[in-house]
Amino acid sequence: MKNAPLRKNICKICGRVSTKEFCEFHEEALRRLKEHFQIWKERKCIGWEDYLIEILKNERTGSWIKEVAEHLIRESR
Amino acid sequence: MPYQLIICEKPSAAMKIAYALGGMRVKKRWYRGLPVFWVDLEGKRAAVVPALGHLYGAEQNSIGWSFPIFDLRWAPLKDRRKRRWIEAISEIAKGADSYVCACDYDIEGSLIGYTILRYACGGADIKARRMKFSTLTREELRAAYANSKDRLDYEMVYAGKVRHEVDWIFGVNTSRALMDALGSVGGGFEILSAGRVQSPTLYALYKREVAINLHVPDPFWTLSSEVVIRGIKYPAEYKVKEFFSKKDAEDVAERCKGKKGHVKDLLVKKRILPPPPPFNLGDLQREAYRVFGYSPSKTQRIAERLYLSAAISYPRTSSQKLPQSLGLRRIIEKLGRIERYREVVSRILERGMLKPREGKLTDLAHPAIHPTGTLPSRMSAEEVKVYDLIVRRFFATFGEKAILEEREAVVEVNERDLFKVRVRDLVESGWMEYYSPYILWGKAEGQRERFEAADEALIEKVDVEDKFTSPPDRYTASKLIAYMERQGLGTKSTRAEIIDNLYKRDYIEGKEVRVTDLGFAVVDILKRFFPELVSVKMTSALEEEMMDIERGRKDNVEVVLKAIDAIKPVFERIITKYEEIGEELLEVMEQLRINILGPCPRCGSGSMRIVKSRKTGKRFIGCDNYPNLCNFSCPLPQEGKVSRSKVDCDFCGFPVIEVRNGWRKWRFCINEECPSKKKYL
Repeated sequence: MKNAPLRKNICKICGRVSTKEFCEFHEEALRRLKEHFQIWKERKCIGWEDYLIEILKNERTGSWIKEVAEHLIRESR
Repeated sequence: MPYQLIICEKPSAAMKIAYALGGMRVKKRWYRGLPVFWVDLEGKRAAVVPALGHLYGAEQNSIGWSFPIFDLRWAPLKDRRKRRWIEAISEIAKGADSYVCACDYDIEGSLIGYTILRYACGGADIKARRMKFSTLTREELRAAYANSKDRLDYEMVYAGKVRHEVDWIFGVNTSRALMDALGSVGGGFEILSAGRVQSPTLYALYKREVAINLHVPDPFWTLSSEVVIRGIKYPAEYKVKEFFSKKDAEDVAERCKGKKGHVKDLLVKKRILPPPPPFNLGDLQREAYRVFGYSPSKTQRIAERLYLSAAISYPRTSSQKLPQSLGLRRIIEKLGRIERYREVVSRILERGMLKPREGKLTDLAHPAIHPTGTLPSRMSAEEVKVYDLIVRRFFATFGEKAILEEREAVVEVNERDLFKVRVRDLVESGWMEYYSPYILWGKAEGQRERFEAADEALIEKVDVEDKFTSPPDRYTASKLIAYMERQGLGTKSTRAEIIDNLYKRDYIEGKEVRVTDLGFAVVDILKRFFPELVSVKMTSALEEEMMDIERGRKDNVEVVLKAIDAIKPVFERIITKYEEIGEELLEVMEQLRINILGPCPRCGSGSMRIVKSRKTGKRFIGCDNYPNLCNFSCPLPQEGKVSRSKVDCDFCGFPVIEVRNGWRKWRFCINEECPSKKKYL
C-alpha cells in the first residue's frame, strides 16, 4: 500500500521510535560493525563473537557501537 | 544653564572617562539611583552618565504569545533597575543642549549609545557626537573627546540593530515553535531554545559526537624503535609507519633488532619561526585556554576588566595590527618601569627600530589587543596572568625570528630496512625569549653531540606495538571558537557567550565538549523540521551581509527583509507539522524527565528520584516509597545536572552523586552521616 503509514517500532537498545529493529543511530552502528568485521577478520583472523568481545573491551569504541555489540552478544547467548 | 550629556556604556567606564576629561574636579552625584559625574570642560559643564550595558532591546510590536512574529520595536528592557536608570537619564537629558556618545567603539557600544540617545533623550541621536577610543587611558580619552566625530557611527548602529532583530526573529520564533509544539500535545512547559548561531554550533558538536559514538577502532601495528649513534640514544621511525599484518611487523623487528647499520643520508634543515602576531580576541582566548585552561568566556571577562582598568586596549577586536600611531615606543618605555619587564624592555629598545610583526586580520574600529603601559593598582591573580600573557605577546611581536635546526638521518640496516632519526634544536631563540614562560621548549644548552653522514648506528630496540584507529577528538571550547571563526558563525564578541548558553541550557557538558541527550534531541528535531536553521551556510551568509552594513555597503532594512524571506517558509512548514514535532519532543522529554538515580540505599525496594519540594520549589533526592515505607532524602545543589556516579562511596558504600554545572563537576556521597563528612560536621 503506497500511502500506508510506516509501522512504528521501538529501538531495542535505546527505546527511540524507529521504523526498523533499531533507531537510525543504532542501525548505522550495526552497519559499521558488520563493515569493519571484514577488516578485523583479515588483520586478526578473528571470528564474529570474538570480534564483538574485542570491540566491547576497546576503549576507543564509540558508545553506540558498544551498545549494539553488547546487544548482539546478549542475544546470541 | 544647559550642559553637555556624555553617555557611557558602564559605570566603571563612566568614572574613567569623567576623571580623564575633568581631572580631579569631578563631582559624583546620585540621581534616582543613577551615578552622575559632573565635570567642567573648558568652562562648560558636562554630565557623564553610565548605562548598564543595553537598556533597550528588540521586542514584538504586539501583545501575547504568538508565532511567527516579524513586527518588532525597540523598548526598555524588563529589568527594573535599568528602567529606573532610563527615567533618570531622560530627566537629566532635559537640561542638556549637546550630546556625546562615549560607549565602547564597536557594534554593541554604538547601539547602546544610539538607543539611549534616541529613545531616552528624545531623538538626540541626530545631534550627538561620537568619541572613538581603543583604550581608557587619560591621553587617548582626551584626544577622543577633542576629535569626536560630528555624527554617530550609524553604520555600526544599523549593523547592531539588524543583528538583534534577526536574532530575535530566528531565535524567539523557533524557540516558541518548539515550546508551543510540546505544549500542544500536553507536554507542559519546558524552556527549549534555538538560535541563528547557537543551532549551527550545536549541530557541529552533534556531528562530532555522532562520529565518536559510531567509531569502530581498526587494528594496526607500529614499530617503536631506538637507534644509538655516537653513544646517544634516539627514538627512530621505521620507513613503514603502519602495518596491517602483525606478522609483517614482527618479521621486520626480528631481522633488525640488535643489528648495526650506518647513517645513509643526512638532511639538515633550518626552519625560521617568525614572531607571532599580536592578540586579537580569538587568539587570546585560544592561548589563555592552552596556557591556563581558562574558558573563552572567562578570558573575555578578565580582558574586559583589564580594559576597564585601562591596563589594556579594547579586547573585542579581530585586528592583528599595531599601527605606529599607538605610540609603541612610549608604551614599551612605560612597561619598562615594571620590574619584571625591565630587562626585556631594555633589549627591545636596544634594537632601535620598533617594528612589530602584524597578522593579516584587521578590524574597522580597533587595533590588536595591547598593553597601555598603565598598570592598575590592584589586579586579581587571574588578571595578572592574562595581563602578563598579553604583555609578553606584545613584546614577542618586536622580537627577531627564531631558528630551529632539524637534522634528519636515514639509518640503513640489512641493506633494505630504513629508520628515520629526527633531532630538533632551537639555535636562535629570538622572540621566544620574550615569550619564554609560554613557550614549550628553550634554547639548546651548549653544543649537542651531532650525528653525521656515514656514522655507525645500532638498532637497539624494535618493539611491535598493537594500535587501534582513534575516534576524532572532542571539541574543547577553544577549538569550538576556532571552528566558529572559520565558519563565520557569530562575532568575536558573541562566540564565548553562545558556548556558555549551550552549557546553561544543558545541551552540552564537560571541558571536552559532550552533547547531552537533550542536546541530541533538540538537534534531531531541528535537523528534521528546520534544516535551514542548523545550516552554517545561511548563518554565515547573514553574517557577511551584516558586515556589509557595517562597511556601509548594504541597507539594514533590506537585510532584515531578506532574512525574513529566508526564514518565513520554514515557519510556515512548521505550522503544518506542529503535532508531529510536539509528539517527538514529548517522547524525548518524557525520557529525560524520568530522573531515576538507582535503587534506594535505605529500603532497597524503592528508587531514588530527583523531586521538587512543593513548598519551597527546591530539588532534593527522595525515595519513591515515601511516605509509606521509606523517608530517605538527601539535599542537592539547586543548579547543575545530577547523575549517579559509577562508583559507590569508599567509606559507607552509599551511592555517589555527580553534579555537573557548566565546566564544573563534583561528586558527593548521598549519606548525610557518612564518615567522610565528619570533618565538616
